[in-house]
Amino acid sequence: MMRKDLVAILACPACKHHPLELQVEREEAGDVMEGRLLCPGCKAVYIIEDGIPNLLPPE
Amino acid sequence: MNFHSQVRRPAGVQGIMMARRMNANHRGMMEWALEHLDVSSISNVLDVGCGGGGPMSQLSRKASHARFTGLDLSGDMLRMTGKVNASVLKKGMLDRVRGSVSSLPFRDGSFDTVFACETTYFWPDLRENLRECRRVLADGGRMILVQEAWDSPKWRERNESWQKGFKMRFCSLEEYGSLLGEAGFADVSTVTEEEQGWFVTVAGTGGN
Repeated sequence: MMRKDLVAILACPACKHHPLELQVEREEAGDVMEGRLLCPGCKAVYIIEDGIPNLLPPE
Repeated sequence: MNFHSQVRRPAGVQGIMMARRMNANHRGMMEWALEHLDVSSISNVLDVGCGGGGPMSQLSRKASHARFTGLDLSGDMLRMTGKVNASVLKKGMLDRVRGSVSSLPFRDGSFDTVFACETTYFWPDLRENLRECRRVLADGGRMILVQEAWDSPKWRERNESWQKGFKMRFCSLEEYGSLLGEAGFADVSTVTEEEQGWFVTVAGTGGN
């Protein structure tokens, strides 16, 4: 699971923009299981899968 | 993936078996390192290259008050870290993020501790990657390196046998100190275990 307040420290690995915009698709007990993190700075999209955000820098 | 890829970036069933082996192999070194670490002031830890989560579980038992964020290239390793540290995860004290030390996905000053155990050998650009670690540390924070190898005449033959097939970088203790200094760290201190060739280095940010 990903706690929603993790977003308070996340930044875009590509452009370092903070904050990222959280879009929740599925949650359990208030934690995010599936969703997306959007970077308003460079428009990169990062997937949250199985409660783990994938913030690897874009190829 | 072959054996060497699995050590560098464990994934899948083979990777999980490899990570179990690494958790077991590193247990003694971590026990020794924890004897030399004051963790009383730790409250918010980034574990870079957390792998299968074994070292984190040992650190979190001693620093049971601390919050942990595990970062790894591999989603399989992060899932394993969650299982190995299930009690920490359950009490909401563990976050997991898939990412790279090359460009840490955190805002400046997010942590008071960056912990890196048995991982810097594989970092693509040690000086710049240490600079990234410094960036995400708050003033007064600390970087902790725990490793079972450094470069020295005594260990060179062993290190070279480990390096076969890997893209690994071993530095001398002086080089690690210099690289940490160039990355913006101060007050670097190192303790070594000469029989096994282990070391623990703590570097401060130089702030309050």
